[in-house]
Amino acid sequence: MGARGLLAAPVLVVALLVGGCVDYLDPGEYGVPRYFGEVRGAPPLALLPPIADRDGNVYVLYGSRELSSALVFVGHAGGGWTSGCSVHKGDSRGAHFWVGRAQDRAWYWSGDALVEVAGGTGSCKAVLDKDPASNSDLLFLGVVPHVKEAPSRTTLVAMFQSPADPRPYQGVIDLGPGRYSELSRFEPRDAEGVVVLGTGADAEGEVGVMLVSYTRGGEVVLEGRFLDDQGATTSIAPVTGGDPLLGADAVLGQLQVSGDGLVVGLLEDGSIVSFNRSGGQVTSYSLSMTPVGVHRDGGGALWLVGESGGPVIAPLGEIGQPGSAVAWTASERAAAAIQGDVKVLDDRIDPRHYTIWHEVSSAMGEHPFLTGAPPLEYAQDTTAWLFAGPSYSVGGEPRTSVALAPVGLSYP
Amino acid sequence: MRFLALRALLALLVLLAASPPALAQDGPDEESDTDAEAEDEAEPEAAPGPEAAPEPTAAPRTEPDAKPAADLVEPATASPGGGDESGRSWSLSGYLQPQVGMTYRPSALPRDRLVYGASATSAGIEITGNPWDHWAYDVHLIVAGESQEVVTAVESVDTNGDGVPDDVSAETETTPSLLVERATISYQPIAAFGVVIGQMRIPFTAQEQSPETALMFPQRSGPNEVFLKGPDLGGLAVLSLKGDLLRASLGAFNGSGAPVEEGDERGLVYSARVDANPLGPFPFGEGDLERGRLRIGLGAGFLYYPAKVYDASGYLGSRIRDLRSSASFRLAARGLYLQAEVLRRQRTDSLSSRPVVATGAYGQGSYFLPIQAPIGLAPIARVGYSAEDQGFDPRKTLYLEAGITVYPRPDQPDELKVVAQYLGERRLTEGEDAHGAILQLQLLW
Repeated sequence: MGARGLLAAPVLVVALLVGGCVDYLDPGEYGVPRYFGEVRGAPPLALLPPIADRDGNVYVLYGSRELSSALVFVGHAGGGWTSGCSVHKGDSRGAHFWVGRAQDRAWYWSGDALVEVAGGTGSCKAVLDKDPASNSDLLFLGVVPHVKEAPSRTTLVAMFQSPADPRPYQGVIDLGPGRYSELSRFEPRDAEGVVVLGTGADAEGEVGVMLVSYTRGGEVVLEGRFLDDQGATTSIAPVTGGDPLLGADAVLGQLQVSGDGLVVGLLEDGSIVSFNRSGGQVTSYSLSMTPVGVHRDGGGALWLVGESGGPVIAPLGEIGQPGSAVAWTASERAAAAIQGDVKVLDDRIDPRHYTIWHEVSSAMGEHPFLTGAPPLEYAQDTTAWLFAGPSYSVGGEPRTSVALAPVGLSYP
Repeated sequence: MRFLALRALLALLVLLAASPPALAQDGPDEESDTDAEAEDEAEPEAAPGPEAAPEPTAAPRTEPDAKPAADLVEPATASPGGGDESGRSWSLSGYLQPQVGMTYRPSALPRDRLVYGASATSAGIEITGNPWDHWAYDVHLIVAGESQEVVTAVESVDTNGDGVPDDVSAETETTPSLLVERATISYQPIAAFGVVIGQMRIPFTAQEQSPETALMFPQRSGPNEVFLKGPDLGGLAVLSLKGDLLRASLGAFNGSGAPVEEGDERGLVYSARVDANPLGPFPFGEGDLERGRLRIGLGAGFLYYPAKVYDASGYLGSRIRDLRSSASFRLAARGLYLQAEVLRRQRTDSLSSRPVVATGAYGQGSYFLPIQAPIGLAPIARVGYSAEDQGFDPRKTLYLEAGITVYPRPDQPDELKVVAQYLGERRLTEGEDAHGAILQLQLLW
C-alpha cells in the first residue's frame, strides 16, 4: 500500500461514517405489525396515538374523551406485551394523551390523574395521587405534554389542585421522586372556576401553553398562558370570541405551537383557537372538510387535518386560518398498504408467531393519522399507528383485535 | 461486604506473586533444570519482585521493534521482572492513581448540585511474562475505589395498608470493585503475526488501544465511552508489517463489553482494525514524552455484531445488526501530540423499524514543554461531541476539557505525573451543563 493509499483509507472511512445511509420507512410504508390484544368497540376505536421511549418500548392507551377509564398496553423492546394498568381518576373527564417519555418509561394523563408506566415491566403508578403535605387528592387540571429528561431531573409542568383549594397551583412535577416544586398559585387572586381547555408544548419542550378560562367579577375570561420549563407563567394572551360555554378539555387533542410561536387548537365545536404571546381569538371558519385535529410537522408548520371523502390536510396561516385542503397522500398510502392480507406478529405470549389478518383498517380515526391527538414521533419520519383486525362479539358487544405498526409519516 | 473485594485482591496478589515458580514447575524437565540454575544465580529467597529482579526484560515502549510476543497489545505499565536463560521472563508492575474530583451541576437538586470526593481513586497491578518462546501472558487488574453501588437490602412498601405492595424500597451501599482490565495469553509464531485470547479491550478506536496509564486525561473521552466501554472476552489475530508501519487485527468477542439492551441475545462481535504509521512506529500512548521526530498514525476500526434475540420460551424472536466504525488520526512531533477520532454507530433489528444511530467525534492535544527544570509540564486539551438516538430524538452533548500535566521526574515522565483537569459537559438537547475538576496523581511501580 502506497502513502496515498494509506491516507485515502481513513478519508474513505470518515466519509462512510458521516454519510452512511440509514433506512427509514417511506411515507405510508409500515413495519412489522405487532398484535397486542383486543379492545371493546368497533373501528374507529377509543385509542390514542402510541408513544415510544428511548429504549424502544411502545405504549398504547385505550381511552378517549368520552370514556372515564383507561387501559394501557406496553410492548417491550425485545418483544412481548404487558397490559392491565388502568389507573384513571375522575368521572367527568376521559383519557387525554401520552404526555411524554424518558429512557425506559412514559407518562399519560387520564381524567385528573398523571400516571407513570414502566417500559421494562409494564407496571404503573399514579404520580402525586395525593398531596404529600395534606394527603388530600391532587387533581391534574392541565399537563404540558413534554417530559424534560435531563441528567439531574426528569420533570414536567402541570396545573393541579386539591378539592379544598379555591384556585389551582402550577409548578414543576419531579417525576423521579414524585414531588412538586416551584409552585405558584393561579393569578388573579379573585379568579373563580378555573378550567383548562387544552395544553400544548413547542417542539423543544421549552415553551408550554395552556388555554384556560375562569370567571372574574361574573365575566368569563379566556386566556392563553405561556409557561417556561420551571412552571412560571411568562406571558398571558387574552383570547376573544370564545363560546363562554366551552369547558374543560374543549381542545381536541393538543394545542400545537408553530415554529413562529403561534398556538393553534381545534375546539370541540369546530372552531379554531389561535394566539401568540400578545393575544388571539376563537374563529369559526367555513371549511370544506370535517376537521379532526391540528398537527405540527417536523419543520414546525401547522396543519388542519380532516375528512372529506378521504383524508385531507390544509396548511394553517399566520393567524391560524386554514388554507386550501388537499388529499393527504401519506394517509392514503398507509391505508392502501394494509389492504388485503396482512402478516401480523403475535408476540403477546411466547413463542411468538405470525398470523394473517384479512381485513385491516385504521383503528384510530377514519383514516390513518387522522386523530385529534397528533401522531407521536416513533423514529425519523415515522410514527407508531394502530390497526384494527378481526372482531367478534361478546354478549352483543363488539371486540376488536388491534396491532401496532411503525408507519412512515409525512406532511405535504 | 466492603472489604471482601480488598481481601480477594490481597489473596490474588499473593497467588500471582507466587505464580512464576509454579509456572516453571509445569514446564518440561529440562526447563526445570534451567530454572533452578537461574534461581541459583539470582538467589531469590522469596517470591520474585521488582527489587529481586535479576534480569529486566520488559522492553521500553519507545522501542517497538524489540517487542516480545507479549506486546501484541501494549501493556499499561512496563517494569522489570524476572527471567532466565531459557527465555522465560516475567514482570510485575503496577500503578496507583489517587484522584480527587468535584462535579457541579447548576440544574440539579440542591443535594446533588455539588458532588466531590476521592471515589475515583484506583490502583492497578499487571503481570506480564514469556513462559516459553512465542508465548506470553498478561494480567492487568484494577481495584477501583468507591465505585460500585450494590443493593444490600430490599423491602416492599405498602403505603395504604391493603396488603398489596405499592413500592419497593432498596438500600444500597457503595463498595470498591475489582476489575479485570486484561487477562490474555498470546502466541506469536513469527514476528509479524500473533494471536491473543482472553479478556481485553477491543481495538476499535485508537483510544481503546492506549494503555490505562498512558492516557492524556484521567479518563477516556466521552464520545469514546459512548460507543464502547470496558474490556471484552474473545480472541484477536494481529498482523504487524514493516516494524509496525502497518498493523492490522481481526477479532471475535462475546459482546459483553457492548451495551446490552435486550436479553437473551446470542451473537459475536467481530472486530477489524487497521493502523498505518507511514513515518515509522507510533505506539498508542497519548503524548510525546520522548519529544521525538514527526510521526503520523492513521487508523480505522469496525465492529459488527449480528445477533439473534430469543424470547423467554427460547424461540427466535428477532435479529439485530449492529455496525460501529471509527477513523483516527494521530500526530506527534517534538513534544506535540494531536489525536482525533470520528465514530459512528448504526443498529437495526428485524422488529422495530427504528434504527439506533449515533455519531461522535473528539480531538485532543498536548504539548510536552521543553523547559530545563526539575519538573516537566504539558498543557492538555480536548473537545468532544456526541449525538445519540439520532434516528429517534437526537440527544447531543458537547465535552470541553483542559488541564495541565506535571511530571516531577521529567527524565522518567511515565513513572510519576500529576494531572489537573477541568471537565465540562454541555447537554445541548436538555440544556444542562456540568462542570468538573479532577486532580489525579499517577505513580507507576
